[in-house]
Amino acid sequence: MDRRNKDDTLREFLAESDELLDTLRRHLDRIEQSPDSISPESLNALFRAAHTLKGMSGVMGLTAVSDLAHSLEDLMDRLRMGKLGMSRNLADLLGDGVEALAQLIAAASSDQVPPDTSGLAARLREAVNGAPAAAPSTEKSGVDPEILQVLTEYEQHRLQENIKANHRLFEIRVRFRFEDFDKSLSSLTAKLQGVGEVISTLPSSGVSPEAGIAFTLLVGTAQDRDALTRLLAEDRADIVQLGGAEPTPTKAAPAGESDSPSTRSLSQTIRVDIVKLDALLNMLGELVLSKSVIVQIARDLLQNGGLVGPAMELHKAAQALEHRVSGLQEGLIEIRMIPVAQLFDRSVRAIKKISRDLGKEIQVTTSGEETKLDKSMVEAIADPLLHLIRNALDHGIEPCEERRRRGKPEVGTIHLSAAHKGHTVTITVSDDGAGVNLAKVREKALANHIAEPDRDYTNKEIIDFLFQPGFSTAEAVTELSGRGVGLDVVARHIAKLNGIVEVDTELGQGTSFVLTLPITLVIIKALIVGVGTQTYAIPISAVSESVMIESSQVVTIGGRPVIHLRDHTLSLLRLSDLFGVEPARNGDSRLYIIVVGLAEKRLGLVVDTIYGQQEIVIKSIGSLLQGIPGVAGATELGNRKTILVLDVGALIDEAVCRRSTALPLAA
Amino acid sequence: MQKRTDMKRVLVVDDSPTTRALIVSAIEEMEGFETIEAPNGFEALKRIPQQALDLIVTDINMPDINGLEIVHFVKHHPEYKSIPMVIVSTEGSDEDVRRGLNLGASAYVKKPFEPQHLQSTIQRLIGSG
Repeated sequence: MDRRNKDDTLREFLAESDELLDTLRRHLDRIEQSPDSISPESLNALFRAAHTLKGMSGVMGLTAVSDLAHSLEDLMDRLRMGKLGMSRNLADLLGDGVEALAQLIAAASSDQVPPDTSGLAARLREAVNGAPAAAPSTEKSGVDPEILQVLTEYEQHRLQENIKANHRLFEIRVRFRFEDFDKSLSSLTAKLQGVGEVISTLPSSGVSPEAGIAFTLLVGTAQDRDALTRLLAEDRADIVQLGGAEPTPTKAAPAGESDSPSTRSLSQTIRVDIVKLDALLNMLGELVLSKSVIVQIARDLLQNGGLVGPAMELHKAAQALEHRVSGLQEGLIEIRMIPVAQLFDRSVRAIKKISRDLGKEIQVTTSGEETKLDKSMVEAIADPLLHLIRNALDHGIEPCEERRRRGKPEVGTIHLSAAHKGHTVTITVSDDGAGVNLAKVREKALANHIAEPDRDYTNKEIIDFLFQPGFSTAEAVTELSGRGVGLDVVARHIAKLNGIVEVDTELGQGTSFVLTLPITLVIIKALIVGVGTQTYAIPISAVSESVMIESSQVVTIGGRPVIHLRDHTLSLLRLSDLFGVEPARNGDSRLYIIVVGLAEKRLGLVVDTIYGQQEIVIKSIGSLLQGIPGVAGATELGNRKTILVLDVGALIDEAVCRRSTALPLAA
Repeated sequence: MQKRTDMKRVLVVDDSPTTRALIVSAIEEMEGFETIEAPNGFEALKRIPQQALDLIVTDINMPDINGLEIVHFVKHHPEYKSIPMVIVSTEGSDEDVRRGLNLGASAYVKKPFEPQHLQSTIQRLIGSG
């Protein structure tokens, strides 16, 4: 294990230890508070936590922790197996043991001198030796031998305990759809645990995606068959009662859940479900909207010159609110941020594996691993990133002999880097391979009829062919890059995330793919534009620039309206045509062009007005507008107006589709 | 359910993320091996039909569906029964290990294990060819 891997494992170990120590303390507390009704679940939970701690600290090489956890586990095993009765003294001993364990783990994580636990170990051994060794009883139960053989020792003990307690035993057979059997089974188990104990859950072997998956549950309960039938009315379960006596009424266990106050946590991190953060951020989004409304009212009041004093006050208060809300927003987004290091680590592992398969010698270098991105963004770019890496390994880096011939180092290099750039992050995959052969790409594009034979293409336009669906320059489609999945998928994926892919390549020197992405998907900066009476939002990360031109600068090439922007020809798409909106007619001969990009492709969106930049929260628009191309969602502005957020990737596709039908631009 | 490469694919079932990570890292240290992880029995049942597997390594003591139940499931299934299984257990679970071997598991490794021990066990079962 290298250094970082080791640190990661230790961090993981500490976080998991914290959770396990917490479980131990919680159940010990529960036992202390109601010593007369100790549930088998609590005793088993104690055992399992100690058991897991023993196992993982052992594998980590933390012998002192493992030994103490082992002693505790032994004692807890005797307790859960009913070979020892719980007493005040034993509960105290377990409590001491758990705290000593916490100290040992803390010492192991900070190179402190570990506390001496030999006395404690002796006390634990003594307590264990007082109990007889394990020997499960085998009272007749009428349980299917098939099930008996998969019971762990503990489960067998629980079966005997249920028989001793005069509980009825049932085999419950159910079949669930394969796609969501875990949810169905969890809900069934929860229902059964409400009235008894689920001793075993045996999956049947007849699983197939079509027939679903069947389970046989062994259940001990005081309830009778009719009660179970009623309880499981919706589950279409087959309920078979096994041999067992008439039950005696059971005492209801008191619900006394209390978390012990943990004195000091070992790790400085907490684990939070990302769904909770999403919900919080959504709520914050609403707050941002309310804030915008207030700011707008304050501005209006001030401009209309009404009650100057109160208006000033409101304006000031609104500004303070704005300041605090953005602070809160930044804080919350910061929590969701994780460094790309993990993603890079995974990628490095993938590169090593793939290069081994390909028989290519590759060295991987990384930089900017500490750059942080929203966790959901990191997850979302994992696949496209891997695709670019595969591409570089497969098509970029040349075989050893070829590299030698060209006077390059035999070992190829792939460099992964990340960096912050304003409100965006760039992630780059570079290789020192052969580079893209533009002449070859053009040839191929001509052969595929996606290029016009008598046209001069700029280098950027040629590179853009690489992002066409199904385009590949490799002589043979290798297994590695996958058949039919090309760079077009990567570009589309990134566009969905409001990002851009750019390519920088030099023949013989290598290729870099640069992904520019917003830091988070939840709250984004958008350019607010007007077309006629309508307002739209365009994610700023997809905008490369905005320009103002005279309408006379628009020319038509091949039936398409274009402008010449510096040394490029830029296709135009009039939003008023796309959405069927009447454009503004104010005699102004100027046009605003918002230049947006998908990979190397650029498109100019023609709008009437640019209102400015604003932070927006994208809301899904549901089925109502789903058929409309080019719309990613909706958002609300401060003036309580709902506007559409444009989907740049889809707009560019739309423009490509419309190429054949001429777009009337000059009104 | 074709495998894309000639890598040996091992499913690792353990509810402790730390232990799972350590098992995975021991396996992936070996050339030509890749792993899939399942944090509990439910996930294991989901993964088994989705992927062509060469071996399954499973813990015994897990909530809901235990390792023995997974061994039983695999070893009674017409399609998967030939997949070798390795039980990872801790000291003191001898009876459970015995049951697992009876159900058809091929080997067991006791925690704390040396990575080399787990590796040689796996190599012995599926290493050649």
